[in-house]
Amino acid sequence: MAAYRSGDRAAFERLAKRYWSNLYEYLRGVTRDEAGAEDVLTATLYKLHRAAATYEPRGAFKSFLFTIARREAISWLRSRHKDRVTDSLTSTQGDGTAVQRDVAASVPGPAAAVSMRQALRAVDAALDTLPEGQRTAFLLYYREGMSTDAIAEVMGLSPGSVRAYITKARQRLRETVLKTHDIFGAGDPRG
Amino acid sequence: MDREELLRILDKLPEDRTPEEAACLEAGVEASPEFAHLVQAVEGTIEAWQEAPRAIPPDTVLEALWRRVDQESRSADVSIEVGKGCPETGGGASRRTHRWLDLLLGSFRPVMVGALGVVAALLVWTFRTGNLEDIRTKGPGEVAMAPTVDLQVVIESAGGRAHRPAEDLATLRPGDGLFFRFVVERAGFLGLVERDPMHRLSLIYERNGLDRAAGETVIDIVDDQGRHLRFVPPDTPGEYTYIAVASERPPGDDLAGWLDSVWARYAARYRDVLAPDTLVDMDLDAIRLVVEAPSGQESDDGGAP
Repeated sequence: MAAYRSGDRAAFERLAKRYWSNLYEYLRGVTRDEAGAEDVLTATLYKLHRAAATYEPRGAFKSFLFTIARREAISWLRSRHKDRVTDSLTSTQGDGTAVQRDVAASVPGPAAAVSMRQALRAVDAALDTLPEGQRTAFLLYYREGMSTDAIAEVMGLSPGSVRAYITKARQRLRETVLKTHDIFGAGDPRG
Repeated sequence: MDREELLRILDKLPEDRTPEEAACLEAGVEASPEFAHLVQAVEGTIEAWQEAPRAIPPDTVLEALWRRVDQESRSADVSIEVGKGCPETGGGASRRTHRWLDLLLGSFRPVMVGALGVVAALLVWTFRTGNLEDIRTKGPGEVAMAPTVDLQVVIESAGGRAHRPAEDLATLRPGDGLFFRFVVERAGFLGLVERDPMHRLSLIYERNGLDRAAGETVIDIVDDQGRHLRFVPPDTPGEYTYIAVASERPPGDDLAGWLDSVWARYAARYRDVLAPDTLVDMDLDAIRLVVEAPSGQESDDGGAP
């Protein structure tokens, strides 16, 4: 950021590209929309560019960046009234299951591909039903490998609340898996 | 073994499980093939999802960013050039043209500055009122319904926060308070935007929901500093007034006295509903919330979130 502040645009690009796919992955997961994720990513980087002049490296840069990204994602969701999206991730692709198929196809071996596809579907279905907070906590924890403390910093919550969010998300995922696998007969574990 | 309990343990993060819970889970897995299958499926699903390749954003994102930055930069350059003229321009004809332009711009400069001022004021007005539009366009007693939420925001008929002109927002200072009133029809949701770019009272409604894992109905608000304000609204249906108070702590511990001084500034008429024993100091990091008891109940009924 210091280098960019002195006008080094390449330094900004290097910085952006270091977190490039992490940010995009997270934003895609939260917005549930490919084009939306691109828009929010652009807005996030723009805010980062604007923040360069006043940025002070107090905490982890990644947390700082994801805090901006989350705020932008929330604005986007609010503007689109998409807090409770019903479209699946793949429905934005035009071609039904394009993303899942592409991702699955990149995994070696048919069994692994099937497993991956099932996992993506299950998690996707579970994420679709989650509120933004739980979705963010789950994505940052499992996909970005961030600690609950770091996520708490991004979300402005206590680590305990973050854990509660993730727990809730796991519960939803478990319910989805339960339906998919038809475990416990009718799919109701409480029986 | 209680299956419900096993599922509860399974939903917890592995590092949050106590040794006893981990042992219970293990025993459950050994005792029941179905449960073992479920554990394997959940953990396997998460693991496979974690390992899925990452999506790569297109390079057009950076291109779009630099386009926007350059565009802004160019706009700034143009305005500077217009203001200063173009002293470096060479050539007789050009110089003459610019002299005329300078003369023209010079004559009209006060008009242009005035026009720009009016445009800026309009923009500011639009920006500041736009966020409150859904509420401000409603008349006294009308109900604003947030599009994605279930809770109705009742417009304060006595000339409350939502009806104050935008100019009044600028009079808010740290230590001042604002309030909003809403009805809990059932345990659930709230959607309300309070925005005041001049002050730290920019409470931007973020989301709300039923956090059953925590056993709570929660409302999260994030302010323009990115700070979260989380509170638990009452489950009891009724009409409530929430008061958010700016980030400065009251002098000493005299909360009631401090609130009195806050209300004395511009909301004295609400003092009677703010009996001290109904106040709950949430002490939420930078922002403080106070909640009044639901109307129609006695003040010592609580109303605390």
